[in-house]
Amino acid sequence: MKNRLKSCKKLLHIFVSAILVMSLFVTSFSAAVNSTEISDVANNTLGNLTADEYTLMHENQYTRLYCALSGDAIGTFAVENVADGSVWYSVPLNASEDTTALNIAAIKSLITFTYYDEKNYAMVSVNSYADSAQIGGLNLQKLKNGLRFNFTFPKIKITVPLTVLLNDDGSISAKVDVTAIKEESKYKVFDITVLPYFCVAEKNEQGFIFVPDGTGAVMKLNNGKTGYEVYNQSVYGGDSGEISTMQTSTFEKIYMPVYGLQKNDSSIFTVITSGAAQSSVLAAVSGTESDYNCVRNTFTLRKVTTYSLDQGWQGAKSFSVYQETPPTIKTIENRYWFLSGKNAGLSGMAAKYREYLNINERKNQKNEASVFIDVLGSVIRTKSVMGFPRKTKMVATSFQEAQEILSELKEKNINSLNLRYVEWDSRSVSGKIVNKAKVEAKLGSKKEFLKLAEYAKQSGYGFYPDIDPTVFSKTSYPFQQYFAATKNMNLEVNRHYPYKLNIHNMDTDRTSWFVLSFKKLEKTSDLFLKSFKKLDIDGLALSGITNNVTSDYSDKKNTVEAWMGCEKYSKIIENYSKEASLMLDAPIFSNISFAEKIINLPESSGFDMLDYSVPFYQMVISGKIAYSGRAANLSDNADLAVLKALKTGSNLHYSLSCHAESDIVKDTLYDEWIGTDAVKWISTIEEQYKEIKETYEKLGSQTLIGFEHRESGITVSYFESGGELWANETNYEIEDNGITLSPKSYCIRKAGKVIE
Amino acid sequence: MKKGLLSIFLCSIFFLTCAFTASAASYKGYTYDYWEEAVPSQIGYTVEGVYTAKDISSEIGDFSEPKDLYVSPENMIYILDSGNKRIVVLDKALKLNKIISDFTYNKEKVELGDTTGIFLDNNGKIYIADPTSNCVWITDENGVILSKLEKPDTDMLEEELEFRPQKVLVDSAGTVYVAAAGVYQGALLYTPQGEFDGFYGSNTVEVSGKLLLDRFWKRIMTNEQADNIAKYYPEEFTSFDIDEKDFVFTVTQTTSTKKKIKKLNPMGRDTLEAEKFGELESVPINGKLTDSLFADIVVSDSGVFSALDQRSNRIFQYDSEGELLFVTGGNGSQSGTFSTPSAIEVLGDRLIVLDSQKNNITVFSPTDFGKMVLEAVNYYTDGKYHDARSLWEEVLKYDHNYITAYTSIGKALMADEEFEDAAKYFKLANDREGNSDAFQSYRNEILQKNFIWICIAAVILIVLFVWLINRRKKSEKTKKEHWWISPAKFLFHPIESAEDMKRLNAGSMLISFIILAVWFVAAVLKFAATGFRFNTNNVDMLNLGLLFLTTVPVFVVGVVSNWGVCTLMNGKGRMKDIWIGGSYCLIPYIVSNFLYVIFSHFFVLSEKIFLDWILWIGIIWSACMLFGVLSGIHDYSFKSTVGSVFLTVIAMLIVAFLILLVVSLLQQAFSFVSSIVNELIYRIR
Repeated sequence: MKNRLKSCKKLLHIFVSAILVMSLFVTSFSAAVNSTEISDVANNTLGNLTADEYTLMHENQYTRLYCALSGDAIGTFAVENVADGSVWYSVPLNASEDTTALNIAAIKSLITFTYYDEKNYAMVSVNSYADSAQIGGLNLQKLKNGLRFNFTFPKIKITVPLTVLLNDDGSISAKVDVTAIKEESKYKVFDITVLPYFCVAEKNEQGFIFVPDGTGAVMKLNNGKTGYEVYNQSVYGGDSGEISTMQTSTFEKIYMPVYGLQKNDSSIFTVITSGAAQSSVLAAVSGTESDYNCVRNTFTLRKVTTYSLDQGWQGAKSFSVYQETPPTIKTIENRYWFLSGKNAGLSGMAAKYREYLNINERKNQKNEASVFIDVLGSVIRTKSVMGFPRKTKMVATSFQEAQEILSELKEKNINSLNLRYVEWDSRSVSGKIVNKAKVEAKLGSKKEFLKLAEYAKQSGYGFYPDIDPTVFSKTSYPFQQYFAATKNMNLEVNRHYPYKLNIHNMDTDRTSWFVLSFKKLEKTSDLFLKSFKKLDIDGLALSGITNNVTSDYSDKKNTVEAWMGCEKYSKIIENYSKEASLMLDAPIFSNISFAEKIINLPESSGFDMLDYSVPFYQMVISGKIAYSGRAANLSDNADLAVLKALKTGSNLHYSLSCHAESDIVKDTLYDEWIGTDAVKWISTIEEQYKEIKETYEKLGSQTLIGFEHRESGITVSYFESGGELWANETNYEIEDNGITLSPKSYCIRKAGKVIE
Repeated sequence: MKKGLLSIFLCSIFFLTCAFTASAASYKGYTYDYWEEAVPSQIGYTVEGVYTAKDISSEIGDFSEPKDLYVSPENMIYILDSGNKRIVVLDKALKLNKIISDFTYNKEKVELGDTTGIFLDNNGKIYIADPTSNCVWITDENGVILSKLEKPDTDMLEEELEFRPQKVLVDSAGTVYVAAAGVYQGALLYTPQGEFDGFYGSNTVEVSGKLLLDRFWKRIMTNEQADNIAKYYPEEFTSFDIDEKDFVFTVTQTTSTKKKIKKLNPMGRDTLEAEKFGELESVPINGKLTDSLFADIVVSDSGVFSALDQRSNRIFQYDSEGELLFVTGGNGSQSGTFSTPSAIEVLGDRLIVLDSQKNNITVFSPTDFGKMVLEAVNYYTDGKYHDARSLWEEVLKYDHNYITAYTSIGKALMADEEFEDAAKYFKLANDREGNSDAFQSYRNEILQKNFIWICIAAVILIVLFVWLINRRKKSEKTKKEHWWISPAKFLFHPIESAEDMKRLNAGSMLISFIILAVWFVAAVLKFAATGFRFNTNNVDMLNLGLLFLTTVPVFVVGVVSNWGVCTLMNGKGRMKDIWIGGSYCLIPYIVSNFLYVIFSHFFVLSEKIFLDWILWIGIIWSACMLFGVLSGIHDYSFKSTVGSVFLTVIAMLIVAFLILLVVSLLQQAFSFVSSIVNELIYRIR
């Protein structure tokens, strides 16, 4: 014990002398020599800070940055939110008292990462506290607007620089310059976590953790759900260039690279601003991995994949392959905003995110409820023709029939409608690479197609023919997939199959598809756009490209890792947005700014450890981009369609086709269109449209600004006009605050009074 | 105003103790189609709530490996919290009613073992199966144990057998049924007084190839050797439930794909017609097949039963006849998914599932779609097809894959005498019997309406036929010698024609090729174009290559084998003659195939024998012709023809075997080369 104290003291001395004062551009540092004086540090002490060793290093109008230059917490920092004086520590102060955690050193660290140990065939995780700072590996520099922590890990000869900066937008950044990571031995960095225990709350604190699952979900602090698996999901659903052989569960992916934590009337809101596509978010309640309620994200710098070597009759042998090339990503960065008072809730976080994305500057949407209609054109499937199997194009809805659907809906007084026409392009229907806009002849002539577009325009309806420019299933010449499709890290062509519903494995009897390599995609999407412009249609709907992220190793010289794949897809969507008004299919947030309309917004996945879902996605875009959820007639609970739309400020969405027999879509990618007969649904659409239109009129606005999930089970959605929608989605009657709601019903409250 | 509202939001978020997440379903709905393939379907149940013990009441603490559930007629929920050796009782709103944790027997404190089953009889007595204490405890609501059921003293049970009761239930008469591990004679019965009363509903040993083989060996082995051979026992029950009429529903964790769910009548006989339950497709994962492994079963008042599959972590719900209604749940860490689901119960129209690893209970309630289907099923099982029709039509609005809807509407249409439409609906449901009945009635209608026209058409046809035959006879008389011999002549005079053909060298290769091509077409048509009632093939899945292999290559092998055999047996025929003669012999068979395809569209199932005769006539005719042609070509006597045909068949089998051998060798060589190439490519890059 004494020895430990001694060594602590010794360390303390070393650290104090280790702090450098340098400008931003000073890069020279040494891991071994730590003897520069501190000169420039003002010795302000603050009442709020419990560890008196924290010293103010920088400040701006929003935040103050302190650094512990001595004491137990040495080598860590704290941030004070000027607005309310709340202090957020980079590592929890009483981490040593943790009774749950297996590795307390990790809690005390600013950085943790994993490296691959070839000798033992194992990934090893190290933390900056035990493996660097405690053994003299920390070298601290003061920058113009922040601090740089240079962590050297002597055992593995790796140096990782962490920079913490105060930004003018009120946030602080924690970033790692990946190019400055020094790997001087055979060990390479794989996953890295920055500030793992920054967003934490203690086991007696109240508040919540906001998790970006689907449209958003909330985990209450200390909810006691310690028996469950922690929430851990890849941002944007991970790299779809990594094809798994099984798909065992159904859940929503992360669309927004954000998370937050609220406690004691103040909150922290994190945006992964660089490297989101290669990161994953973890949220754990106290009592699972530590005594803290914690949320954080981890970046993947290098990839680990499995390679399965086909050994003929001996079966396949699979082994892990570890990326050896240096990561292509330049920086990884998180930004943290500190919110207080009335802004500390979800709506405050949404507002901050909106500000960051510049969504506020967009012009307001018309305040008018509308109906989003999907119409399925044609699908291709193998069918027996006179006994012989042939690939046959099945017609679900021709252009003329689509127009008839529109005219019928118009007759039903549906004033505002957005039509998305799926599978109208002949190349898309056949599964060929979409490099030309040519209407599918089976559905009607080009003239009829344009007539449909014109009819929609005259009726004041939006018309959005849909394509996914990234996929193809039919090769135009043999072995085309080897030249045109994305490849994985093992240089195998990525071949996707649909997964079986019952036993989860790939259904290799069905048509497979490939994802177009980036080299080709840039060309073909330009070609498509050129010919699409000739059609002179205002709207265009995109799917697939809007919410997938893929890596591509097909071009050996210019390999594309997931972060770059994400940027490239954004760029392509941006190009489209210059020529047409876009309707995007549930876009991830890196693509959101190009959307005019958004369709198919997700819900949340109901992970065990989380408590309830929140419409955070909607709160960010509401009023600026019109949106709808998934098609009501294909959803799990069609009877809740209106309620679900209303409480999220959404519009209605239906998927329709004229020929809706199972024989048409069987075994195709549209086999989930199991209840889309237009004739049967039109009267339902009329009723439901009327209902949401009237409700939004009564609410006075469709712009969702706040959301509350009350203890009783009632949810309250707050709209810009001051209207509130109290909704009961459960199967029970609920009374709350003098309002009694029968099962699956809602009421409107305005100025404290219930209307109706 | 806005400020005020937001502060409400801030405050309230602190006090939320809601026990569930409203979210999209964490599982996809599917059902099995006629081909036993999973197709998308609407889900029937969604999660209403997921509750850990803490969510219910802080008094309970945590559950620890809860193993069983029971819901009383008064809707009280009894949770057998095995790890904590207690019973937690909840009311129907899932509020804590009481915890029974102290048990006394004869005023002495008793600690429960690792209990596995719980049941309540009509008098409110609680029965607890306790395998570690080797008994079934019978206790009152306060934990005072009234009596216990122990291993009966009977010759039928082996002496060394440890009595480990797994599940227990009580019927309306108070008879206790105990399912015990290692007891293969069925469930043990006890009288209400606790006396052993025999066994109930034994599973039978399933006959398998291995079993028969073992029986054979046992006959010729010594007793010692025979003892070492695996013994075959019927499978024991895993769990069971009882309905109002004292029918016992049992689940058995058989390792093979045999009947996993049974509905035993009070005599112990299985009355369920359906054979297949659970997942109809499986895949090996880590060497184990993913076949369903049912852990528990529950039957509702309407006869609908739900079985809990521990392998796929899903609930399979069936109507009283064993037709699949819904598949619910799945594997994972989301609400509505399970880790180790241990028990299932019904609470009103809801399903409750206990998970012994997640230590929680999940309440599922039917969706509107689910309610609609359940209501329609009730009508349907009562035979009120007509009342159910509009409901089923509504069901189809949501889900065109819901097959039972088509069958039911078909039956309603039959009742309304709309036979044509009924036939259509039965066809959509792949219900061949229904379609056959409807079509028969429809056909009768047509026949009756158009009787006169049909008579006239028949007369005209007969006249035409007679005229044609007459004309033919005339033309035959004036016919010149052809450069080829008409296949028609072969039909009736095979020996003579064959001799002529050989003598005049008058066989036509062209015609033989045409015949072979037509044979292939006939085979395709027979596979794909045979009428729906007689065609159980998945027409869209036709594999032309495989079908081709069953036609022309077989012919080629036959010709070559026959030529080979006959060359050795002093046959006079050349290969070309055998080829041409052989192909001519196919004509009756091919024609019968075409007739079969055509007539299959007009016949109903009860007339299948006529269709079969058409085929048989073709085959026999072809066979006779072949026999004649071969003896003609080779100049064989009757005896040697028989011999040569027999040897030809053997030669064909040998050739087939050789081909298989070569193919598999080539395959191995190919995969060897490809694996080397794969490895090389991998190493190089």
